[in-house]
Amino acid sequence: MKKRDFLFALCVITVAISAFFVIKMTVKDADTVRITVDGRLFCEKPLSTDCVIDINGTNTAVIENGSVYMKSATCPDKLCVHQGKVSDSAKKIICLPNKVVIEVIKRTDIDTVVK
Amino acid sequence: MKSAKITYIALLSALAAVFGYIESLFPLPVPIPGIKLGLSNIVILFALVKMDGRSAFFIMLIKVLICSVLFSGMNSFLYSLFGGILSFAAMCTAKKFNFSIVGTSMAGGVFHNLGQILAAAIFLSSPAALYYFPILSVCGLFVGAAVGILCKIIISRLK
Repeated sequence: MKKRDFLFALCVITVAISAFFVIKMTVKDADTVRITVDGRLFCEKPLSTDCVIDINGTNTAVIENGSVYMKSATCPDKLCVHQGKVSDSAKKIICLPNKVVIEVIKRTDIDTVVK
Repeated sequence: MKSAKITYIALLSALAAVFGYIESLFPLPVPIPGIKLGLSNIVILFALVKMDGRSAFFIMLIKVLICSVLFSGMNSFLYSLFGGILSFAAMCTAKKFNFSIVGTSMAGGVFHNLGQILAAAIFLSSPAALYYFPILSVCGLFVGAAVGILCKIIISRLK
């Protein structure tokens, strides 16, 4: 390996670490689960209330004890199911085949939009 | 000469597709989407070093097409193509800047993952996928290094 190889590796690691901290810094106490399908808002639910959400029959999300996880999905790889529980805004559950994104966000507004 | 080159491209494309198939049989048990070994990049890297950029580009294109149609479904075609093209561009640039094989491969690995993240962001029309950028770029670096070392060993054995 050459010197410039290491330089490149160092650059990538530096960018990755700074990006990691930028993402971590934007973490806020979240209270709302927002589910988007294909870039459009599907529903928003409070994180404090346990419930089961059926997303267009393709995915099932579960809110339980202040965190949200994907219980089942129709896609073959099931990556979204394996992504586990999410309770802060730094993590997201993404199901690429079904274009489903589950985020946990901060919503101080009194009303939540429930579809 | 021309037909010899076509034969080499066909042979290496088939090899790359086989690597892609083997990889699809053993998904890595990590909860991060998009992480894989990129074994077929050994072939593309080999072509880039031992043949020329155009041949390597054709091999990448044929591999992405074959693997999407046969194994992973058209859903992943966009991701593979985005990752493939960006990775290829990065490897060409790295080669021009006199990176070693391992360094070239690392650049390819990082930009392959970057391409896939961008494709996901476009596909989902949401920047949510960018959350995976830090972990995926570092993984791309290490996986790329591993692929580069393998490719270096292969090239030295072929001499």
